[in-house]
Amino acid sequence: MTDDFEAIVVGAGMAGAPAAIRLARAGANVLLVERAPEAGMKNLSGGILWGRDLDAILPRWSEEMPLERHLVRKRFGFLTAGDAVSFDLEDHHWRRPPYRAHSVLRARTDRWLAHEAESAGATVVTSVPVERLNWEGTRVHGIVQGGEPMTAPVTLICDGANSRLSLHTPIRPEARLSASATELGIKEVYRMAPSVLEDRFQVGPGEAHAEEWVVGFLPPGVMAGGFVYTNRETVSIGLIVNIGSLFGRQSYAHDLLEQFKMHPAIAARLEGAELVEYGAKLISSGWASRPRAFHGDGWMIAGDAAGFVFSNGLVIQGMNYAVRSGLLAAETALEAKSAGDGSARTLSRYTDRLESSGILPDFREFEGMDRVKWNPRFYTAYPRFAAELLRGMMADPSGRKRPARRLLREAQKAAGLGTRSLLSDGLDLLRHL
Amino acid sequence: MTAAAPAPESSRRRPVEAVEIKRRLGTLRYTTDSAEHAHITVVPAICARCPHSRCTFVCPAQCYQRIEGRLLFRYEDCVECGACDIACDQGSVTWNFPRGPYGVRYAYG
Repeated sequence: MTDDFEAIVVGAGMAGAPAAIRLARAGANVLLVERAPEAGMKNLSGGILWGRDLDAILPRWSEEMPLERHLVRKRFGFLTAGDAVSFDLEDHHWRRPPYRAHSVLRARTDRWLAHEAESAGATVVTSVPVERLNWEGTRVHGIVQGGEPMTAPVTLICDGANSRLSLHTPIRPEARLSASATELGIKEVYRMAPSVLEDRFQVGPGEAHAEEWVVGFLPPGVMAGGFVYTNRETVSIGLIVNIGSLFGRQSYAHDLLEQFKMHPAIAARLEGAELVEYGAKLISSGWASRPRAFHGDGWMIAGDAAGFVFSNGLVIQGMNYAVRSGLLAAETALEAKSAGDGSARTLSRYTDRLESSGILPDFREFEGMDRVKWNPRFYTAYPRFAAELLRGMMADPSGRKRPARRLLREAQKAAGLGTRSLLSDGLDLLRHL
Repeated sequence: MTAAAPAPESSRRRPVEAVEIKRRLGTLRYTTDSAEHAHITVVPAICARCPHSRCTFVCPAQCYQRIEGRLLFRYEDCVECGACDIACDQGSVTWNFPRGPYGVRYAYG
């Protein structure tokens, strides 16, 4: 029996669409299936697209893709109820092409990518939420839609963080994703005239400012980070909260975003801006949310669906890993095509490539960072500690000059941070960051 | 219940207002499927004796509300994130993506 396609890619996002482009360009008969009525309409991210992984298939992507702005400044900081402590990284290389990172709005970028896939010769179908993978024993033989199988020797699972296709299958035997290894991202987009935006965020035309905060004034136990990214004429502001940390706190996730937004350090720059969109998505948590395997007979899994979101507090990156893993899967699918063999043996080259390209090592090596990242003290005591210490050193609230070791003790006391915790957390951080 | 907490005391002016969740959801476009095709369903009997109602706290679209002890669920405002499916450990939530062209449509994303 001949198959309907040579490869099926499920999900027109940052993993699936580039994979479909790569496959179609190489002459493969590829189907890209998307559940949204138009690619991009169901996709959402922070979002900063780091790196230049798209260069491999779209040499002119940074000129042609509807990007927002190129990043020139990245801020990291801690917020307490009334204070903000932060530092900025400004690398002068970021101001000149080739740009290192861009702010993006996914409804725009992903629509463009799907269009590129279509131009390259892929069959793109939208409004089709795939029901399930077509399992034949332990082999995946395409997908099932409307009760009908649609077959291909190789299926690329790129259905995002909420990967319904992999749950409850040998890929992810559990019935639901783990609450402690999954985050909820909630985001608002505000419209702002570019001149106002550039003035308030101190960037030039076309330049983006990005900031990420540990939000240290939420109800105790709630572990969340906030972000602000500037787009062409909008600002994306969002909160990323560990889902398990919400349990038993009697706090509404959507209220937490408002609390972050109303912080004086954040709110001032949004004055008068009009809310134009609200949205939310799940965020995978790297190694902790990885599937049982990344390939098997007839399938490979890439992008958020594979858990490829790297976040250690200082960095949160998913889209670059999506593009890279999607392209590696496409490469492997092409080998399977020429070998006429979509078995796990051939597709194991995908997992090999995830290793040799550094993707799996990135996630594996930083596994311990989860302990640091999900240490509740990081979200309560440390923001307070940092603010008190710096206030003592820089603003001299007592009117007296005091030695650093005394200020340190006082900041520890104000933050309720024992020396033993400070030392062990410090060691953890050094070991895992 | 839905109003956000006030800004920290140190903010003297109110440069930006907390936006009530209903108004935030009002920025979204949906193509709503009929109720018999709701993509998420709950079992009211299970929800009635749920000890924690986690769904009401995690859902970013306020699809779940506990009012006078009863859990009210509406699928229409769902942004299809999947948080409720993770939060519900009582076996009440059955979660699927909406059919064909239905559900939320982001213009920015």
